[in-house]
Amino acid sequence: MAKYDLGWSTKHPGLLVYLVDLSGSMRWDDKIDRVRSVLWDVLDHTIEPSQVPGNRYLDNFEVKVIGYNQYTYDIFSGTVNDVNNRLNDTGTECMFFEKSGNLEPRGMTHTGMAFDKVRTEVEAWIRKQQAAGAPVPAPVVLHITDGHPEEKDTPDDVAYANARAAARRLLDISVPDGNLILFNMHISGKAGEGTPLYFPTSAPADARRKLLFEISSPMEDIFVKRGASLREAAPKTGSRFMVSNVSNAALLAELIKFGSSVSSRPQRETPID
Amino acid sequence: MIQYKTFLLSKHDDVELTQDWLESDPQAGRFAVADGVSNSYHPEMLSKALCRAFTALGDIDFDNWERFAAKSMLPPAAEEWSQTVENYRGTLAGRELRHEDMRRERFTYGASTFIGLDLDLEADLARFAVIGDSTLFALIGGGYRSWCTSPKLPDDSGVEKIDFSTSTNAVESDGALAGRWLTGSFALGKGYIVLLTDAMAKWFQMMHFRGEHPEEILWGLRSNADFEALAERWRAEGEMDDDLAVTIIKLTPRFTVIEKIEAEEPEEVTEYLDTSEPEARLLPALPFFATFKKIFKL
Repeated sequence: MAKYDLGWSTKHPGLLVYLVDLSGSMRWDDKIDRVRSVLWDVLDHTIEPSQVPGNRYLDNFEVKVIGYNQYTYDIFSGTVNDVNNRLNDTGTECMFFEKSGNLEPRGMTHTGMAFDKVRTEVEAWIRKQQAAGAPVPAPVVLHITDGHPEEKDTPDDVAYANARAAARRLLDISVPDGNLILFNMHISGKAGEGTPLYFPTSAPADARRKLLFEISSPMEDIFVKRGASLREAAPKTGSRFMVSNVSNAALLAELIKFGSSVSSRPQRETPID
Repeated sequence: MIQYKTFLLSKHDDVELTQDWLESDPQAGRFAVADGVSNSYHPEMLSKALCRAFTALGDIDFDNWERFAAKSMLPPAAEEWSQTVENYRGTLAGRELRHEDMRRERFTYGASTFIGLDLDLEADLARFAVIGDSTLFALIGGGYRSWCTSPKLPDDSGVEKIDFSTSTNAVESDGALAGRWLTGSFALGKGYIVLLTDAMAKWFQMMHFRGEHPEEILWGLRSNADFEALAERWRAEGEMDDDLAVTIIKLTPRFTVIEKIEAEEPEEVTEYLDTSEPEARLLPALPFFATFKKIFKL
């Protein structure tokens, strides 16, 4: 069987993990609001293919939203129908999660710790699926951050090494359908604040971008093909699942939708001629 | 004698959601199987509409099938699809309707593969029209033939096999075609005719070229539970992870009647069983079949 060909179904649901940076800098330039709003939009869009006649939604994937700074926060965990209920309950504000209390951005960016938290969650989920006798589609982790690893009382090079090592452990998670996909998305504050970079094919010179490149999954050709609709941001052969300096909310939403759907359907679902 | 069985299984264990469909009209000798294309708008409604439109046809002009179908079969199917879609949309509101709108905007029209088969018992002839990767197999007199509009490619040993991995041809919900029809005919003889949607067809071809007898495996299934068990076995190996539709027809000369063998419908035994006819004596040999439906050719 080809890699990443299992698709999602009620018999073998997929897993999407959104790992959201809640460090202090996310407060600036409405970045956290952008992420909360974009997540609502993305999840509304992502559950649409699960709608079936009879106005029902199939539980063909599960969603976890995890926040982090120097702590981690279980923001949301549930099935498609749970997501649908949450979307219905958010009212006209259309923000997927609150930003009050623990979820108010503050503190540092303990990326390595966050990756380890995700790994624990993903491994537990895989065990649950396997115990039920279900084949397991490759899980997808979408990491949204505005910065780089920064740990309290720790030199940057050590924080980077921690992030790199934890990312490697995460990327090593493998099921017969393929390795876990880690898509790293760096967002910037204001339009034009930095040069955007979409799905690079080689490591950038800048240390922060280089780290993101190194800890991002390589992209299979089938995903490159599926990303063609992203136009100027479209990936190329050899691209990695990484973008940097994305300031436009609409584009961010398109990128996350792409990342959220890459592994959802089998390769054999080809269009009609 | 001609007997047939049908099996239909949804990948979601919910027949309401299946995009595969099948219909038969044994009195008219008509059999239809269709597979709605996932990447299209309400394919599950189109596959049903196509099967119903075919089995409801009067005399069929297979010699001019493309023109005939465009005039007599595709318009009523398109009308049924359109009406069913609108009725369904009328039940939706709010975000659910918006999701429906997103899907319509993305796909615009429905699409489905299709096999239509007509058995002419007077002429001992089967005539058919096929589009897409749903596949018609005929295993008659020791031969093996298959028809669909996916390409056949030689494998390493030069044996030509259907390539089920390529883009598929289909009928669209506005009556347009993606690709072309394949029509043909063959003489009836002792053996089997099998109409399968793609996942089953892929399995059938694989089993045949392994030297096994998939037609006998299918014919040997005694209940829907047997069929589900077969599907589950192959799903565990990554195959058949799809809706599945099977119509298998067993031909035993002389071809004077068409009988349907159904499973798990015991309440219909009294209604359909005509013990005055000799074929009914087959029942003791087929104890697991709850219904033995006999319909004489008109």
